[in-house]
Amino acid sequence: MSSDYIPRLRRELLRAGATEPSRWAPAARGLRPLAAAAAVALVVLAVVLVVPWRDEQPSRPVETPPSTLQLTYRGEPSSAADSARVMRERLAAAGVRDASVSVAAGGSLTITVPAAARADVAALVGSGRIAIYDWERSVLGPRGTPAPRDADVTGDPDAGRSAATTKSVAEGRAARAADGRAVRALSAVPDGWFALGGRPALTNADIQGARPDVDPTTQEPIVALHLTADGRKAFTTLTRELARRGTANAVPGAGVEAAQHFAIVIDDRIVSVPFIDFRQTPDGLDGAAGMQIQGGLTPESARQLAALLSAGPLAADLEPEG
Amino acid sequence: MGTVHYTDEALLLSGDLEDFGRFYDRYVRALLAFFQRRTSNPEVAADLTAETFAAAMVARKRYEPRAATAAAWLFAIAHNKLIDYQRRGSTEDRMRSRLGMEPVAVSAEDAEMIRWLGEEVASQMVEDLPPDQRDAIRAHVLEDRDYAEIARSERLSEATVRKRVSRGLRVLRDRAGGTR
Repeated sequence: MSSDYIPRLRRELLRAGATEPSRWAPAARGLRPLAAAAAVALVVLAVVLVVPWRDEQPSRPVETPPSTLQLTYRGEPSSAADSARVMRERLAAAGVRDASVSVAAGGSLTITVPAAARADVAALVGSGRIAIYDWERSVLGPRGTPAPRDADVTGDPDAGRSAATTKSVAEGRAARAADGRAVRALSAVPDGWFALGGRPALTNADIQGARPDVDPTTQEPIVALHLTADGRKAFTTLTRELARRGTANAVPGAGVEAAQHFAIVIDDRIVSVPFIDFRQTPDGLDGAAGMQIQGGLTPESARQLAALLSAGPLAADLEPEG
Repeated sequence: MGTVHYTDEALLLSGDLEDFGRFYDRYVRALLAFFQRRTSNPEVAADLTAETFAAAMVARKRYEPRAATAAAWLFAIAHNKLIDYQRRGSTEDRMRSRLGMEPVAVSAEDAEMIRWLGEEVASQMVEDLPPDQRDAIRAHVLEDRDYAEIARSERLSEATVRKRVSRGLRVLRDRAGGTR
């Protein structure tokens, strides 16, 4: 049998899909102002959804002069200098020009940026703590302990979404476990929470740098993480363990339904739960190649997320003053 | 850089056309088999498959992961296309026209391949599934019964039925040569 119908249909489908917006444009001409407003609203919404861990707007914006914003955040005197350094590095990494960060009496931080950079600042004032967990071994069930083989706890194959619970239930489970914490589910489940227990496999200390990039295969925006020597070892060890566990759990001749996941948590939200395909990489992934955060990112949010992770974490979120 | 793998839902929602292509790769064989078994006509099965994917392409931004898995969503579209076909006695091309798709010809070899998928994929491969997945796939995909009905008759939760169907489809997709 030498049919090429499946690839021919694929090519035609994607070719037509690529021209979809231009075909719709003439019909929408009369609605352009509305469409433009809707597009702006969607961009704003996307920023809020993709960077949900920092959605507070700073208080008391003072325009000095009109093209400049001055934003003030509460801080602890003991950590204010460090916070100012981190914010300067994050703003520089995000490409915000003409930004200044100063420490006022009492430890508050005053951030002065061009008015157009308001969304960047809002995305950068989170603590920026990253933690990477072995999902099946860390997500906690009703007893406050992991249940790696229970799909009603892990949500497999929809890890990070399915089996999400409420915030109060997650907090209750987390309270019973060592190093337990409640985290928000993937943004597709806005009200969902999970409880994670135990120490993460990797943290900020294992991240050497972060930069926005584009996946060469899919052209999707990503954040590429470069790992320290310890981070490379930890990532290699983590993914090898996941691959071997997937192999051990697999039904002979079946697919990847036994694949194991790791979860990337930034501040209090799960941002990605990839799985390791044990058939393709039975020994896991080489940490020397780094890792990437992918899924649901726009070029803007990838730039902001890379900047958030580029300069180490803050002692705590910066809260707007007032 | 290490390769990571993404769920059907992530592929559908990414907005990237190549991701949609990867989603297509995962399910095109299962859809061709689905339509072939119901119509016994490879040309119609091919038409309905193309129309289903065109509809999924147009509607993917409205897909809501909380409501259904991406596979269940795709098969719900397929089911509607099948009902339209059975009512009208002919396939429609509304979504393909909207996308501006050109017809994709079905050769004798293509028809043979689709017949084979209908016979082999939907019968033998389903039989080879673990019993819980096999029964769930038979009931939902081959017999068109909805999740709630299956859950009632099997004394299972609806979530469990969904999970078994989802896992069974993943196995079928992999065995049919779909790529992840």
